Amino acid sequence: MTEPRYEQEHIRQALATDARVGEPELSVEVVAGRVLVTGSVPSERVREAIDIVVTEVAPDVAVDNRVTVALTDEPSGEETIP
Amino acid sequence: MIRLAAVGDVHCGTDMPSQIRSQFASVPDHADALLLAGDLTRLGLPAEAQVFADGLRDLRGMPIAGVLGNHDYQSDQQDAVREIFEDAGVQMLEGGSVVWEMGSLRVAVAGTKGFGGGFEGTHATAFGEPEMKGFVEHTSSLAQRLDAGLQDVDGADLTVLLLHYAPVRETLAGEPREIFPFLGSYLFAELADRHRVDLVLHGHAHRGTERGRTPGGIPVRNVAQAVIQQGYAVYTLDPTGGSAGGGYESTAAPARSE
Repeated sequence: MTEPRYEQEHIRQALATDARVGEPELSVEVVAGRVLVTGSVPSERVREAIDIVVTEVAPDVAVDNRVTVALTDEPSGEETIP
Repeated sequence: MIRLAAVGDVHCGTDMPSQIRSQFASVPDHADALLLAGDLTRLGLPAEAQVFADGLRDLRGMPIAGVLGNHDYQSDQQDAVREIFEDAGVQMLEGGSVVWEMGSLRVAVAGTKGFGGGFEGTHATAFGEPEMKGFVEHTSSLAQRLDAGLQDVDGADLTVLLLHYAPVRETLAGEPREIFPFLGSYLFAELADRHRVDLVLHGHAHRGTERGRTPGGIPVRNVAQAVIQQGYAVYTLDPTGGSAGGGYESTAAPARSE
């Protein structure tokens, strides 16, 4: 079994370099056989690909994908810069 | 008064044409110009850049400036990506600057991707292995080019510095401190202070904080989409106290192209 701290880094590297995700800014934590992934991605397709990539790198751990899709709403206000 | 819309880290994919169009369609209702703070694409593919550029079609005539980010370099096709945005009317800045005549105001935007190294007190030094020297020298050379670009627009009524990487620690609050040297460099804050720009915008730090200041007191805003949690942020600047500005009928006048 891979040491969890190494395994979480292997997963993080894969999420950065695998073209299906390509997001080096995601956070990955492996605790008690479970991979917790957090952060923000631009689309639902990328969010779903996280599960696939993590499972390929670490097939023995459950994926807890708490990544959100970035909000793109119209701004509700503006800031005046002095 | 000038209203600037700004966002970075859109990470546009080929699956996002309707999302991009919807995200930017309302910009003319809120702002006079749009600034794009890098990581426009997810993997740096021309096809992704084209989706983004097509989504800006409704903004034709509005001044738009942008810089590339590290994602835009991922597929080693950054030149093609840049060209697609330029063809769509985006003034892509790589150390250069542009001046827009907006109402009676001369609004300058100077920009560069920026790069890492860290911040004052702990910045990496060009010492040791060639790879380490290359890392630091990349940042230094970008700063030198930007210095020239800022000199070109000295005297503008209002100057905005547009970056991808961060110029200060403050807007990185929330990111792991171990990666600060890969998130930005103080060299760009030093330039902002030396040239007394009015506002610095950057992206790159998704877990960071929107608001900060340079050591010289200039406002810095991290407009990474994951930070602002909306399609774009809007900043209002008024160098005249309310007597000038507005509209974007005038043409862009590049002060330096690279």
